[in-house]
Amino acid sequence: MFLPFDYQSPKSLKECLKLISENENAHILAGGTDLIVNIRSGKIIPQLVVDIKNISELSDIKKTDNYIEIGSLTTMNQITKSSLLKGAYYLLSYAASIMGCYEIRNRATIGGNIINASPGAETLNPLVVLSAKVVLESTSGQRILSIEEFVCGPNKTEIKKNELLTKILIPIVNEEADGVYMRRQRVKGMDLASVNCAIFITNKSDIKKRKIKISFGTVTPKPYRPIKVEQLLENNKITKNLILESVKIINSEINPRTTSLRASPEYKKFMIEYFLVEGLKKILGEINVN
Amino acid sequence: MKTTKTHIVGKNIARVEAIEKVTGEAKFTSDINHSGMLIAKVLRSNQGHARIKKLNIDKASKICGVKKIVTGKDSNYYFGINIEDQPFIAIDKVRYAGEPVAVVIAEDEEIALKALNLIEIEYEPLKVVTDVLESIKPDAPLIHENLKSNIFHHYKLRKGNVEIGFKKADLIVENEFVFPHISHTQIETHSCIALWKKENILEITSSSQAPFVIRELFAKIFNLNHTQIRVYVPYVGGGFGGKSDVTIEPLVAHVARFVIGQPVKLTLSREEAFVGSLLGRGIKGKIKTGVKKDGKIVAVEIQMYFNAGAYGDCCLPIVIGGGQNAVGPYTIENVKVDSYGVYTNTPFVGAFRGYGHPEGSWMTERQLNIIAKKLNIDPAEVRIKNCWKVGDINHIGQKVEKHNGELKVCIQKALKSINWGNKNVIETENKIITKGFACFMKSPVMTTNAASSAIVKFNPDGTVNLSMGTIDYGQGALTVLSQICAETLQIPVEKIFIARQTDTQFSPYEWQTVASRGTWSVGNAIVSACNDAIEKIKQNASIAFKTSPRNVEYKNEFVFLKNNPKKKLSIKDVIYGYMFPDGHTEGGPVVGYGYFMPNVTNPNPNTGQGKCVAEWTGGCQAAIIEIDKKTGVITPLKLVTAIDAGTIVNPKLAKGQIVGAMVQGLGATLYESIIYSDNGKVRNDHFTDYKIPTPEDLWNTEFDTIFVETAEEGGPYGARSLGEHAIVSVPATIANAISNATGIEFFELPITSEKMLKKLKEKGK
Repeated sequence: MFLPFDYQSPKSLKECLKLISENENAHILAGGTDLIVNIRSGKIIPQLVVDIKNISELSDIKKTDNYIEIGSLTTMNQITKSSLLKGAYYLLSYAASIMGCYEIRNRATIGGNIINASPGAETLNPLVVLSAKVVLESTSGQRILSIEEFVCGPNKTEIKKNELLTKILIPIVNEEADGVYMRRQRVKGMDLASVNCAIFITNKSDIKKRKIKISFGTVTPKPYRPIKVEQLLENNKITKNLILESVKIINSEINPRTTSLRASPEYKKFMIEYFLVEGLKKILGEINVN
Repeated sequence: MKTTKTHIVGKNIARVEAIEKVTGEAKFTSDINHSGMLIAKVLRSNQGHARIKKLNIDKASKICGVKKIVTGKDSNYYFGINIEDQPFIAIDKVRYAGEPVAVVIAEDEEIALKALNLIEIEYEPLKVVTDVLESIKPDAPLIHENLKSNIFHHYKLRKGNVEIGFKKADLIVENEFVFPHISHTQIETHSCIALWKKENILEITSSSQAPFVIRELFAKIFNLNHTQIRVYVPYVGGGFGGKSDVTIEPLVAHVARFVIGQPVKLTLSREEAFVGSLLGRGIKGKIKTGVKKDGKIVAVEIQMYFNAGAYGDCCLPIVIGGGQNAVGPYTIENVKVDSYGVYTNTPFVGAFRGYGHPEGSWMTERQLNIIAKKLNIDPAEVRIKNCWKVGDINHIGQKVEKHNGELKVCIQKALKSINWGNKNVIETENKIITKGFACFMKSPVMTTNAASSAIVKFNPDGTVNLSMGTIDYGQGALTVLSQICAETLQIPVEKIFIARQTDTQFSPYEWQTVASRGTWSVGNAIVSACNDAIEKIKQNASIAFKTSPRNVEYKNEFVFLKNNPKKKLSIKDVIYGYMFPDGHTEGGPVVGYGYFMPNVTNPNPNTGQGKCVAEWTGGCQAAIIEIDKKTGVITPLKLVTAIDAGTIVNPKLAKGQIVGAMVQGLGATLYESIIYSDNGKVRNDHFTDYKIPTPEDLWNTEFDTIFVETAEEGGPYGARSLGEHAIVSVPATIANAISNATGIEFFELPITSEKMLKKLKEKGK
């Protein structure tokens, strides 16, 4: 089905970085669950495909002093099963666990999910609220960007042509913290998220010190953080009126596209309130919103 | 008629072809490769309606390995079974997005794709119309400019006088309904190989439900006799009507004529299967019903506009069948149905499980629920009051017979299964659990000479080769028909080998495998063939017994003298003739032949009535569903079908058909519709955005299939068929359940969670 292209399979990161610095039009093949689909549909007609699956150093999850480091080649099923991504970080492994189907999760990588930057990408909202950073490497060195800076829009990131996304850094949270990931989809079987949301709260029991981060997917071209609403909810008792005010603020800031086949702007706006109420309830326990 | 106790009919034997399918031994059309085989790839229009301004194949033709590029300039022939309105490849203009504009034949797929990308084409866009009601307006663009209107067929059904009927009514209810285009989504996409051996010898291999229809049409198109065309169908992976009549075969046979001596194969990609084969459904309709206070229907008037797409050939009989059966299984004195086939700029429509019946049911069964509510009577009562009773004259003038089945019993059993009348609605803060139901009826819509035939060939060891022309594309026909054969021959089913493949050169004639008629029609042919074989066994035995065949009895693989049962022989001694002690042999190998021809007529052109239907099957479907008030998600908790399909030959396979049909109906109810862009392109021609139910959607669903077995007089061992029936009223069943709890009336499918939530919010729920 494919037009011919060149294929390279570097065995080390060094070899890979050299290769992509010399070939500006290289397309990176990680799990292939986006690239192959895009080649088949004609969206991408590659000259060179660089398969990074054999770079073993990129598929590992480990804990350092300040971060949980996830190699960009780590698959969704590895993330799902990782013992390091429990507790406060569970929202990320939960998001990975419902992405696509089991077979796709065996192949799809977190790096690929980030680089593809689909507005409904399963891992992006959890990574945003976990304040994750991405490590980009090239023959000339390393850059570290926050995930929010890195993702610019659908299929668009700040990555340069000679760079490879090698690691995702999730800051270790020492305070009491909890998070939640929610999505809506059309069928319960394999489906893309029609609209999704992640919420992460630190110091949840102490209203004065409480920090709330919220991120929605598919309501703007990139993950959307309602900063004003986060501030509003952080230091106030959560009431029905506060939620309604939050929804009002959010709906004035977002602009979901009308041409989506997966959900209308109207439905997405309905789901904002649903996600806020359900998410906050899940983390903070029963809250009075009636 | 089921008169005696059966041994194999009624038993749950395993599928006879199961092992070869699960091991991968079974080869499907796309698995078949011939030496020297060429690959065809189709360049399809990206415009819904446009004139072809320029089409340049020069660059593409120069690619090494390209054998031929065929365009609309190569033929001005229009083909069709019912209407000859379709070119092989668009000529001068395209009528839908996805229509072939050029076909590249090349040595391999890579070369074909490369050439496809080099074909230069320019269009002059014309006004696009994808909506059926827009297409019948006087200012609508003409899809076929040589015609005066986009309406290509009008079926009329007239019984009694609706004007007088409506005058008698205490209540008149009028509503409009929409059923969008949906796709069959067979797991195996369409594939076809065509080989012209010489200019007048054509061989076709195809994933088809209808090899004999292909042969018939090709004889007409290519001016050949039936021996000059061989159509071979290997294993087929799903049909649902979408591989009936003809789909891609005329295109492949046409282009292969340019490379005589070399087989040409076309296998559709998943995206192409959405736009390049057939779509199903697609109607907008109006229904006006007049009732008395007690729920008795006095008149019904229906208009159905079938959105047939760009070509009407495959849709035309659905316009008739859909109109003919739109009123459902109810006896109504005054009926007026007008059913129209309308051209639009969409891919064309053909058979889809149910063949016009789900469209009518969506209108009629929703309407009855709305009427019951307005009259404040139980919707079950409205149905029981109006449903067919023995002796009634139905809407097409046929008398309802006892063996047509017990509809009332089906209604009662389905309602009992959902415990109707007890806590019909349970509402909590977040959820609503509610119940609904609807009746259904389905008749096999077919040609008046839709014959089946079968050949039963004994082997010397007493085993049997059974051939017939029906295709098992998943429904279990091979197994059920083997059971009928074993029952009639009184031999173990393991001794029967039923042909998996159909080949017009060897297989006996079969109209096509459609219309839920295999068990009944082919089953009858097999019974007849088996009885013919038994007569021949008796003839051979009579030689051995030196008596007349009428003195010979056959039972359980033995022949014996009627008046002296001790004098008996194994059939092995007589099925290839009888050999005397001196070696000389008389009689010969036993081959039985049988056929079945339905006894039906065409409808009267003025009234639409007539003895058009050979058998009726009805029943009732019911559901318990849960509605999530915060997300609008609808989850089926229980789906029920109570059906009277006569004797059930294999209950397990029958249940599989019923459950499968209910799930497919659920897809059309909750998720599925083809979505068009303004210029007529299908926006969801892939599974990313065309969602069908999968097991995860059914984890919380209990299925109940209830068989009421009133023996069919005209069926083998009292059996009828049941492939399509359980899809028919699923949409109305679920919409009725929603209405029963919330008062929200849906008139358009699918009922997505999004639409559900919107309505709930509007209602302040």
